Amino acid sequence: MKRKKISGALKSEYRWGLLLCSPPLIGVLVFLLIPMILSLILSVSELHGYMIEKMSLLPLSNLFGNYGYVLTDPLFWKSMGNTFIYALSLPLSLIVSLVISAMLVSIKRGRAFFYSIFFIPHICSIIALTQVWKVLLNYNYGIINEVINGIFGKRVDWLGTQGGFMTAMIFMSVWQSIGFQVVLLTSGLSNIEKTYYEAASLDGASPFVCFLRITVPQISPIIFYLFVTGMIGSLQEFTRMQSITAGGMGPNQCAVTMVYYLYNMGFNYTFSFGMGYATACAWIIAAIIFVVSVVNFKYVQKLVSYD
Amino acid sequence: MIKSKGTSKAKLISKILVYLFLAIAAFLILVPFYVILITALKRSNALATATPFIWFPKFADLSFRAFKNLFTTYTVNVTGQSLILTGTLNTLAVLVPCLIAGMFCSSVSAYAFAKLRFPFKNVLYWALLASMMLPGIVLLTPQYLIYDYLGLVNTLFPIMVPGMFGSAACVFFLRQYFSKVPDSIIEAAKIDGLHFFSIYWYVMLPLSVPGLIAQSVLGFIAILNDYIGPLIYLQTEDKYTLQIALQMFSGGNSDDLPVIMAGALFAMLPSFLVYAVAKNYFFEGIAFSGLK
Repeated sequence: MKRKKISGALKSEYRWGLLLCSPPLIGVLVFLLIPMILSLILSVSELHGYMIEKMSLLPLSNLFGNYGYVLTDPLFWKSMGNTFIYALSLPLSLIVSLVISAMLVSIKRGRAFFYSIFFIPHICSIIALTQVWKVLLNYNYGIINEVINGIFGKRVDWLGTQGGFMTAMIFMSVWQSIGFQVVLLTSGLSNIEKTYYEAASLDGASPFVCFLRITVPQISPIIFYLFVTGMIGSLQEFTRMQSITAGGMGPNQCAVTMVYYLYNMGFNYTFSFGMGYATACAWIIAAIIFVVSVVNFKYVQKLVSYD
Repeated sequence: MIKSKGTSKAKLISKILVYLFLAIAAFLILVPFYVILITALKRSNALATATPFIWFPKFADLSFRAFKNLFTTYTVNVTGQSLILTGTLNTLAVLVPCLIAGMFCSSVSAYAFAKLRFPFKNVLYWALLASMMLPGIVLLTPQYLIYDYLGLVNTLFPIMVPGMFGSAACVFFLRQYFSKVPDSIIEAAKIDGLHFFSIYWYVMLPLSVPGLIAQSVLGFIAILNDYIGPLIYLQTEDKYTLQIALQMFSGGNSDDLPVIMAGALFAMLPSFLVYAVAKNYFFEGIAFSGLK
């Protein structure tokens, strides 16, 4: 059988294609795959300090000792609880963003103006924002307490009590996430075809019913995307907590999220064998993220309607 | 949108209510920024921390003292330079190579996946996409160990170099963008004698400017606000990036609030500038990626 000759021009295209597509792939290989394999090995090894030459696999009888250590640590479970409580900011912000988007879509002028304003917190450095919120939440001179004092005559210790701290953090997170969600939701809302609404109003449907039966299903893919990505992000929350407590753990250790717990174990010099534990912790977190994503895709996605 | 039956008067009232609601929401978003600004401008810490909060300070109580102190008083032990300025320079040193090289690599790769034919193309593309699913936190510890072995801890290398290879998300976005360029233009360029790299440079890039800008802005903001990487790798003050410098600075200076606020304002300045300039491209880029 005659073999089809590949022309020189095509060969050249093959070469260029492989060459040009490679940089990100090389990056993935070097900076992702290789460390990931090392990470797996590390999670079942013991390592004193940071010297990789001194790393040794745990004995078979205790192979998952690192995992056991993390899973029996009450602080880890507390951190998991904390993380999930902070993740509540996601549905909250989605509801607020949905309301704001619905309002934005109904006006014609000034939309770009409001977009620009709502989006500002999203681009700002989280560190700078935490410093500001520290000022806002201050017991004595923070304006939030000013307002509350004016209305109720009492002040709230936001940063000193567990309840206050967690509420304040959830609120700050909602404040910051609204911008991005509003932009996505508004573009989704404005893409819904008007004919649906016209047909519905011809049939005598009230605006509320239109909202439930037309608007929500039409933008459910976007809400789902925001929910899934938001969930994965919330489970890895770290910067905000570490920054606002300046490295501390917050009242009753409520500022410790799972990644913060990991960071303390691996990078804070208080543990001799921290690296092994921290890596095991990282894989546990990864497993949680995986489970949550699977739950999202199996059950929550059923609520999403694709056309 | 939703058509509500009603008199034009009712419609007017509902419109006013909507604007009012949005105005209140916008006000709530902006209040913290006003607080930063006004606190940074207050003349003394006593004024800044006075209860009740002074919303509209007298003109005589305002000064730029805080900004001046920000740059002159707080210095790095080793070099004697201003902490904040050192942080800014380090961040720039990371930003520029990372953005330029990263955008180049991502866009070249996206071009190859979108417009060239080569063996294993699909496999490689799916491998790249799959890499986006890997959870990044499991890489924190092994990467640190590797860099420590190579002696690269406390340098800017770990923060800068990985980004220079391009990112999978950027490739994904740009490939969608590039595949919209009609093949006929590329054919015409080929007939004119341009070969593959020149086609990329002279044809694809100019046609995709909005997408490139959107991704560059996103990358700029991500690199600027990167915290956990620099936190782990940078150990001495002369290497801190802006975010770390700001955090260390604010943690230790809680008795001079205006200076901390001035620092926060300074750290947000680059984001504001870039945002003001590239706003529209930004929104177009985000809306596009969300609808995929």
